[in-house]
Amino acid sequence: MTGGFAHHPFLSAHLGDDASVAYANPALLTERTKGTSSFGLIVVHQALSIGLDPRAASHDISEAVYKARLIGEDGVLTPLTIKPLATEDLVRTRGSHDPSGTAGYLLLGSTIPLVPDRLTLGFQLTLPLAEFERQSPFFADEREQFFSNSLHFEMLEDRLEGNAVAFGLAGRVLSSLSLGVGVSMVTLSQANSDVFIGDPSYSTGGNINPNVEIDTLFVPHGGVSWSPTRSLRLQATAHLAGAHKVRGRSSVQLWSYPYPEGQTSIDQDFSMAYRYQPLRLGLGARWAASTGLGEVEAALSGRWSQWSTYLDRQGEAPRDTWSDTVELAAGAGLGRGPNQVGLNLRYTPSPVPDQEGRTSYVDNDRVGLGVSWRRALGTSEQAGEPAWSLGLQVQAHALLARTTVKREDAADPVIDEFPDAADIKTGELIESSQGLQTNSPGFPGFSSEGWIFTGGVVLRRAL
Amino acid sequence: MSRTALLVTLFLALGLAPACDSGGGSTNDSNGYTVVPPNGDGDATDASGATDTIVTDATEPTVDAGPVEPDATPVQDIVPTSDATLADTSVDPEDVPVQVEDTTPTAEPSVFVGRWALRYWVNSLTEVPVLGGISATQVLSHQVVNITETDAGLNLEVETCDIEMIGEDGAMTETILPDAFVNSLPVINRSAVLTDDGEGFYAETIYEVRGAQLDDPANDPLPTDANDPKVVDQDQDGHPGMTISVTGFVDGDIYLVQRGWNALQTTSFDGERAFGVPDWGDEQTYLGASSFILEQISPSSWPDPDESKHGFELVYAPEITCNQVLSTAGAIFESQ
Repeated sequence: MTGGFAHHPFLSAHLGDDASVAYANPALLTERTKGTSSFGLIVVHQALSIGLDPRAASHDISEAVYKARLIGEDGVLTPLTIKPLATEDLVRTRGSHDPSGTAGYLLLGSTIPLVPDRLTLGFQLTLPLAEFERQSPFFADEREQFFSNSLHFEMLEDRLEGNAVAFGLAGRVLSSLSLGVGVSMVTLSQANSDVFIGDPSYSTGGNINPNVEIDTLFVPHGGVSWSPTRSLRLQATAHLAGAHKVRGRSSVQLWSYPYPEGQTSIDQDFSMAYRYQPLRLGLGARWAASTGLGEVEAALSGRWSQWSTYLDRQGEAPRDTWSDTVELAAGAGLGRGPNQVGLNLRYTPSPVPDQEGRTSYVDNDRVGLGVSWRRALGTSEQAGEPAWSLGLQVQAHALLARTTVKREDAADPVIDEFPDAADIKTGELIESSQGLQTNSPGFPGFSSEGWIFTGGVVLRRAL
Repeated sequence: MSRTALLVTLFLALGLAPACDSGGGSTNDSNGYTVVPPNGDGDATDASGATDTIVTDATEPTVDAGPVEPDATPVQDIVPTSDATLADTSVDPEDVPVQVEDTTPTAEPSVFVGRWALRYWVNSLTEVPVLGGISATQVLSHQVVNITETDAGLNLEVETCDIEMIGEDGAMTETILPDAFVNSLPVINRSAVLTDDGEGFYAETIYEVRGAQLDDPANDPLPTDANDPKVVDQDQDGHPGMTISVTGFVDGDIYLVQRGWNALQTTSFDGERAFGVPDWGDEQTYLGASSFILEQISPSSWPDPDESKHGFELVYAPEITCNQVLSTAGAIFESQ
């Protein structure tokens, strides 16, 4: 989304010339001698699909689970250590969640030369039109049975629906060298809920006192731009890891509850992480020349992302460590008279390994295509700088189809939520507990694919 | 609801305890079992093997036996010669014929001699911390009772077929007595004295301790430590004492030692069916639990003061087995 302003959305860090570089590569803020202010609207439509493989009834969890005891190796019966619901008691049907959706965003940004040709400040603000921030956590394993009972695209859905604020400051150190630093804003929320329940049956209701504090943190990033020749420019970027985090504690007081000594409530802590972004290091080269067709520019880039440090929405590191990835992008642009057109391509490999075991993170390799057009509307007092420009941009991202089949011999296989158990009353083996029973939405397998389409309009004014 | 409720009642069945071999018996003839009038002679079995049964007088109520009021189950038609009355605490327990060695029938056998099916029910009220409120639990038990005559009156050899804890509709927890619990209950022999007209009896107070072996079952304190040498794994499930299971809002097992007592008094008899009321109480200590909350919650319970909620029904049924009692209970018992 941070490329929303950019004429080259996948190569903003290398071909950018507007406020979007405040986040993508602040060093490029010095490339434009005039300040600009930009206003834009962009719509993102996620047409996503997750297909769940049929699950045999023998894998369902029967109601006998409610009156069952585990059979230990020594024959001793003990309560179940995992408490799944009977399959037929699950609140939602397996796979009932629809991951698709459409959202609109307002884009605001500006570049402000503080010292002409030397020091430039820029910022970019992305605001969702519908919800300022959407955080929809889910579990990637059998625990999701209690909630949506579905799978979710780990890198999409609510991850694309949130506000983003970035500031950048760039200085031209040498005529051929610019350095930039910046920060992007993330939130650190503390949500503590004090709850008093007078009756577990809720016949008298509960009393809840949520205390919420939201602090702002800034995650740094930086970039460098070096032009060894007039036509060649090299860029490097670094973005440190960050996420919007929500930490909290649920403190429940129960009427007449025999707390352990020193305690006055039943506490449970949680730590969520939304829109986690890992450390990313990028390199790219931009080539530009005047030709008979007009002003031509092209760029190639690669960006390494340390997804092996990923934290999911539950603040948990994936059981099977994700892979670090290298994303590749290429793009070209042509300027002829008042018109500019751009074409971008990007390949984004998925960091998610095949989900053959307990977890079912859904993610796909993506191929993106971006096409843009920009037209100058009049000229400013300075030669060559349009007073206004209007840009249109469309993007299409194909999520390459991916199929996952669970394997018994996976390193961390799907767990048997209803292991061989005995009936509490009779002590006899419960037949329906034999074999593997699970409500994990991703078992025995799933497939995923989809498209993401974006369309936007940007109006830029020279200051 | 909670362990208390169970406990409480559990033990009601106590006087009529032990395990019947529910897995044994043919079920081919279980349906349509016919209740017949007792003939007073032929079907009585010898109870001479039940010499180790603990039968004592209620010399002192146990500390936590619950507020069972002495008049809650009025003892009215007791044969005057009986040395076992609820109010009489002067009787030396050793005066009670704990060993029934002479089962020689009298010239005119008692009408109770023979094999009977017994339904026994009591209700307790339980208040559980956290869950709040007072909940009612019925403990319903079925037994087979072999009654023989003794010099002092009658001997009741009681075999427990099942014990069921029935909570209120909508209860957040359900208490379950595993079959291992029921099966571990020994056959109990208890003495009874006939009423003057011979058409009723009073079964003297009997104490039973479950999950521990005490020298004085009526008075020794119950062990509170699972490592106490007096604690035994009576139901042989690998956990100390006896295990009771709870499911629902709270799920887990409770390991406990329990002492219960009761006395039985018939109130009516029509030749083949007798009704009566029990006088009962119990106490228990908790040795552990499978979860923290079950370890911490200490419910309190007491017999329902409504006397109509406690009773028993005895139906003459020669040669009936536990399986038959359980499979035909709905037909042979009039009480619900």
